Amino acid sequence: MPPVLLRAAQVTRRYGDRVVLAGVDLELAEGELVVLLGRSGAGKTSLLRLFARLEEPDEGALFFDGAPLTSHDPRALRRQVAYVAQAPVVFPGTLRDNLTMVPRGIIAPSEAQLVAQLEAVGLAPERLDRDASRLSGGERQRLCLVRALLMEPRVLLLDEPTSALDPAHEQQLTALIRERVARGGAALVITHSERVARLLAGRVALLADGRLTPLDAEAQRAFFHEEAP
Amino acid sequence: MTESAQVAASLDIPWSRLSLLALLILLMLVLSRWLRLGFERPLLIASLRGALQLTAVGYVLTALFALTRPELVFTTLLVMLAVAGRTATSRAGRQLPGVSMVATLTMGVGTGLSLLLTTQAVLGVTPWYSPQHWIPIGGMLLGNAMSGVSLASERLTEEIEAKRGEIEARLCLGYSGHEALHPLVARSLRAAMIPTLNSLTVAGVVQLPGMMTGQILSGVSPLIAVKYQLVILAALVLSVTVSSLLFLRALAARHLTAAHQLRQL
Repeated sequence: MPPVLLRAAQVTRRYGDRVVLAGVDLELAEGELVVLLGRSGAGKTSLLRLFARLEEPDEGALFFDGAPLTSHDPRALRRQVAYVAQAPVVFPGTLRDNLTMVPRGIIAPSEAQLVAQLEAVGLAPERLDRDASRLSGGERQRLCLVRALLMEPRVLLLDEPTSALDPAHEQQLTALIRERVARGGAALVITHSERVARLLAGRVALLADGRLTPLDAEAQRAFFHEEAP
Repeated sequence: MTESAQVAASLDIPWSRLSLLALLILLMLVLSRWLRLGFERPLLIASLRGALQLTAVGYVLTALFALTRPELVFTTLLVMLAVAGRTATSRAGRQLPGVSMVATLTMGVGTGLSLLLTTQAVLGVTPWYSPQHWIPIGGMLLGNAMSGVSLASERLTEEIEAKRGEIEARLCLGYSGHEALHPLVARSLRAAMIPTLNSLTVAGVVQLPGMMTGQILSGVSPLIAVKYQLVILAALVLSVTVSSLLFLRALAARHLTAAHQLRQL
């Protein structure tokens, strides 16, 4: 049995009176990819943010690598459990500036790593010294994924990583995510696209009414059918 | 009559002449009425308030200068500090609790440090708590520190609200909370410093600074007035920078949790 990297145990999260997560249980083992489905506002993003420890659960506990999230240094934890938000954040400066920004005490990625990673997502390495603010929505999304991958994290938490991509890049990116997982990582990916869910080919779970339930192939088809009539 | 009393008498403006000012205000009231500018009421209230406050302050300062008691000097400065602390943060919209206390404390440190250096090391005043020096210089420093802290507070609060995604993206790269907020803190400090830096840049060219003007009008040689003005400008830069920076660091800390998270407002 591969070790469990991430675990949520009876996690509840409320915002004011609104209960977004009501006793969620989830296990993500090494080499595993979980696709998270659910309507807008179902709490998918909250779950990812809880695993990145950007917020705290109201009840229940979360674990990384067998130890409670609260027992890890949040800074070290976030480099191992990489969260990429839905809205891509590009910092002022060049692509290189964006990819080599690291906190004190961390070694910035090498030129070879930058080139390899950019090529892997279909961004030309010649653009490393161009102004990052000129990137299109899809390019920004890929830049943010590259920035996360360069940390060599063990777990990827991706919030709709392909929402602004064309089908070719969608395929390239999902293949990259799968390859990372196959190399001993794990990923929890939110998507609204049936095609992306199929390309990722992971275990599928639906978040609805604050609870997480596994979905088989038929239930998935039903979900996407309802989602886009 | 002693020499200094004679100088003072020759500098004094008789109340009868001072009351001519009321005519100027009256003229503007008529003008506002005639052109339908609609600022008669605010002008009247502001003028009366200003005149009453300044007259009262004149009497209070005279009494303080005559008594020359350290506890009175510092109590006065503390009252000024408390008012400045409340005012500095009163206009910034949504605020975390206790921010005005933070403003008061940080301005106390920044202004206090600057005042101590100016009065003791540069001017070497006697007695060391000389009210003629501590109170007017303290007032100038506090007024400027207050504008600095006020601008800093508004700017940082706005930036944090607008740039949550950017801050959290930095946190997700393993930055500490303070590292993640640093670019915003630096931008807010620059914003807080703009008025002070501007006044330094144009000092003597566009306008003669207020204190220097006052000294020249009361008969002090311009070269001496310049020296005093330089002391004040340096003291201003020190107090605005230290107050604003300490305040920004403290405000940033209030937006962060121990787990390097951005607090939800």
